Amino acid sequence: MKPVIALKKVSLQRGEQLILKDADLEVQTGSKLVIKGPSGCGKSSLLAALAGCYPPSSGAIFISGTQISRHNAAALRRDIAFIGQEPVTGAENVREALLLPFNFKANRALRVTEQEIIGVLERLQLQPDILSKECRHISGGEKQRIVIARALLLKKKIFLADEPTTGLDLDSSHAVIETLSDPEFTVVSASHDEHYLSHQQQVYVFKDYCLKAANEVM
Amino acid sequence: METLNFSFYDLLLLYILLLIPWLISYYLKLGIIRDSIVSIARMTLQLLLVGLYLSIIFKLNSFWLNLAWVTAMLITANITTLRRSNLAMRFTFLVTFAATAVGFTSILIFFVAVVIRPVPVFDARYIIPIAGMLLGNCLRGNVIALERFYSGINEHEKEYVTYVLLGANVAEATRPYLRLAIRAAISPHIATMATLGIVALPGMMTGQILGGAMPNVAIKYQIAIMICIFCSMLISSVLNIYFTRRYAFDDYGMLRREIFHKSN
Repeated sequence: MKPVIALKKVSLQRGEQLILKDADLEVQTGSKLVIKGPSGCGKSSLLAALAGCYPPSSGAIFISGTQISRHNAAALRRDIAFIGQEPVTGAENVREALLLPFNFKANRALRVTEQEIIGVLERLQLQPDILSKECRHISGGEKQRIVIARALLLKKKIFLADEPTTGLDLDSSHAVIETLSDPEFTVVSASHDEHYLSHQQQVYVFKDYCLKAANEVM
Repeated sequence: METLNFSFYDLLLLYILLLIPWLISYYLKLGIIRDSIVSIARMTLQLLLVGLYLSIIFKLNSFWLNLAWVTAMLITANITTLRRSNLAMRFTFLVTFAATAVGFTSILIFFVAVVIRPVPVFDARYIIPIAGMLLGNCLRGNVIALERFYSGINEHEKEYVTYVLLGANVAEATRPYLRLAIRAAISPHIATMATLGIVALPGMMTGQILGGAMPNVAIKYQIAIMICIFCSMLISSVLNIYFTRRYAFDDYGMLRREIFHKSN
């Protein structure tokens, strides 16, 4: 089966700074892969490259078999959800935040019903009354769940998550882990959180510009 | 009605008047004597020169000379805009020049050729001061608009990238920053229009009244110039953002660091 995400001899560089050197990696559909490593080693930059924010300095990154290039980055992102450590809602209230991407041209064809919204909130253990709340009045854990709910409404199947549970309360952390564990989703994340790490199938260590499976490192 | 002239010897009396602030400054150790001497010397020299070449321009009143003068003003304004908004000239000079030129000349031509209709239409007495007022305000608006727009995206990079990753194209993802930037650029002028005539008599009107114009003529010019400033500021600041935006983002939708001036 074609891997959902593949890295072939990928080197990454931000400015003068080398991040990754000649890395190969394959992530199959439904896999949950987590990358750990010292802070500042470039985990976030790697996830940004997978999301097509910038090109590798050499090698190629494939999403669902298509090589990311400047011509197709925007189109390939349609399948990808990026969950950052500090969730950005991007709107005044929660309902607006959830519906925000549906105003963009690229998502105009997508429709979302009230029922779907309620269903997604429920799945993330959020009450429907959160919809009318202002984003600045909800907790970090709720914000993170709203950001994931938005990705679910956009029917995303690939999740790139940067420290998705760091700093979250236990309830939020559980909800996030449970939602992302859906076998339909392919998840590549970076995390330090032991509880989160224990729920992932593959652990990779990012060190000295290399990515290695954790069992190879030990 | 002619404006009463006064001689350069009379003007000297005003330089003697400067002894008062300098004595106060000396007594209170304000530390502004040196700076004010330099500033007043510069002002005197610059205005003497402007007076000299304006009198030449007015005397010759040639279309090409006026055009060259307005173009020189436009180039100077553009360089100042880019310097103050911290953008690198080599990427943005031509596009910001085009944006300001469109916003400013369209309104200038409309005002002079359609509304005032002097004979000849390119009469320096109208073109030069009106161009100066429009361009001075466009410059101020463009600096605020460009600076706020790019620093807004730079400071809220995570937010901007979130929009892009949610499917927004560059135009959609930058819209919130565009709105804030244009509002910041234009709202001082909107506030000024609302208080005009109550808080202070505007400069153009004061100048025209001193120059011998009837107040009803002066207010018409003042209203007209305020509307023209509003239009040209808005058009040129929006176009400045639109035109630079094409070069400021890479094919991946990310802000190119090279567009900022190196010192940033």
